[in-house]
Amino acid sequence: MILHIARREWLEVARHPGILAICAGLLGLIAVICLGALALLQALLADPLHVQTLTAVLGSPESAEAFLGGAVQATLTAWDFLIFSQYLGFVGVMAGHTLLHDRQVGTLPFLLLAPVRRHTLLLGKVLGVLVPLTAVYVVLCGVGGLLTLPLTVTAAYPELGPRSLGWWAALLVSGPSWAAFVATTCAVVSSLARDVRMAQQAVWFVVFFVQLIVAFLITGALGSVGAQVGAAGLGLLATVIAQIVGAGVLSRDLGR
Amino acid sequence: MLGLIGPNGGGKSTVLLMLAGLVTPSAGTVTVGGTPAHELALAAAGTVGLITAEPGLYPALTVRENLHWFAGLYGRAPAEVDAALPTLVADLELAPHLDRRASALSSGQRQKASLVRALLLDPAVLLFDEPTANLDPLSAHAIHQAIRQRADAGTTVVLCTHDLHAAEHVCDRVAVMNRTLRSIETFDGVRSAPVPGRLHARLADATREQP
Repeated sequence: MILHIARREWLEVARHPGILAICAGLLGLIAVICLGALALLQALLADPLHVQTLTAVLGSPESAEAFLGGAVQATLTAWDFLIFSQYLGFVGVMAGHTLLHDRQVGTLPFLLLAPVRRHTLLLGKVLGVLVPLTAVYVVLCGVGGLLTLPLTVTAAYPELGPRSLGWWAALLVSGPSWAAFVATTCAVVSSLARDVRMAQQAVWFVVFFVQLIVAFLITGALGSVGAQVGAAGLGLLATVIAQIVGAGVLSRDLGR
Repeated sequence: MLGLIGPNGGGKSTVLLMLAGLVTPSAGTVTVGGTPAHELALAAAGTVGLITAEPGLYPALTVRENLHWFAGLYGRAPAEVDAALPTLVADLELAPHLDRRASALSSGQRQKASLVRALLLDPAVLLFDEPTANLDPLSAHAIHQAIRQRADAGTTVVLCTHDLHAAEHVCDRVAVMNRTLRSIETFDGVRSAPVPGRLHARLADATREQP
């Protein structure tokens, strides 16, 4: 039944591919900008004339090297932060419209009349949002990450990219587990909202704080698989709590 | 077949939603076939079929996909739905529209699809909340005929409507409401020759007298 509910969300996404195209567009744009910046830094380092100029400006070769290294590190860190925060943001926005959409198109009474438990309904809606967005995020961010491998400037910071197992654990486990929490919370928000504006504001409120906490939690420990497993565990625990509380909040009573 | 008429805000839709178990009464209990209405969804799924003024179909999905999906919530397989469809859609002239997106249909066609969704489960009780609001007279007539056929076949039907003409011609009894039950008019056996203006007068009385 969970898959049956999720399948309708997937069908809707397939009929409105723009929903995924916007998400893919932003994640792709971030990847292009960051890859472009890294390629530029690599070109600067490879050109003795540029290194000489930078040395003259900064006073010593060590300062020039530290400056360029810092720029590479900052680019990789910003990219990682943006990947996770934007992924969570897209999940929140989409989940924040699930049950509200049912209310708006008039399907909610028929959904509530069906023999579907509230836990099942919530899980189906969450899965319906998570699967397509996570697929886009994993593919784009995975491919984007792999494209950094030929850039030798990134080799000095293995923990910030696909050279580290921790990075893959963050991409494939920690990110999705916290996205499940965001999706659950925002789906519940969507059931309470009577209006799109209210839903979007509530979603923004939730996503803003979760993005900050989670993006720091994940990007702060990218090099460690253990830390990422811990972050993922926390995300799953938060999801289970949100699921239990959320199912209690969902009401079969249209009057509430 | 019972009609519910009354002024706006008189509580007709609330009564209907209470019968469907979708609104909890502030006092007292509502039971349908001995089951508390709010437990119907899980305890006796499919007992009640609901048709509201808003057809309640997913606009991006075709009519068939909508019917498959909603029937799937009750454990019905798509093949089972497809087998039942020809009979159900025949009188409603919906067959050519089954594979069109719901958003591409007229209000009347969408409402007919909503009716088919309810009939697919063959419910013992059918609840209609203003099913012909916003429909042209021909579509409204088709819906009313389908409702009457189900009532004649033994289904319990409650029709909430503003259409006094339809209430007089389709219902066996009509309850006049304005926050409370004001009167019940019986039309059983005389539907073909209702007393002109009788319901209109009862409705005017109920609207004037505030409880």
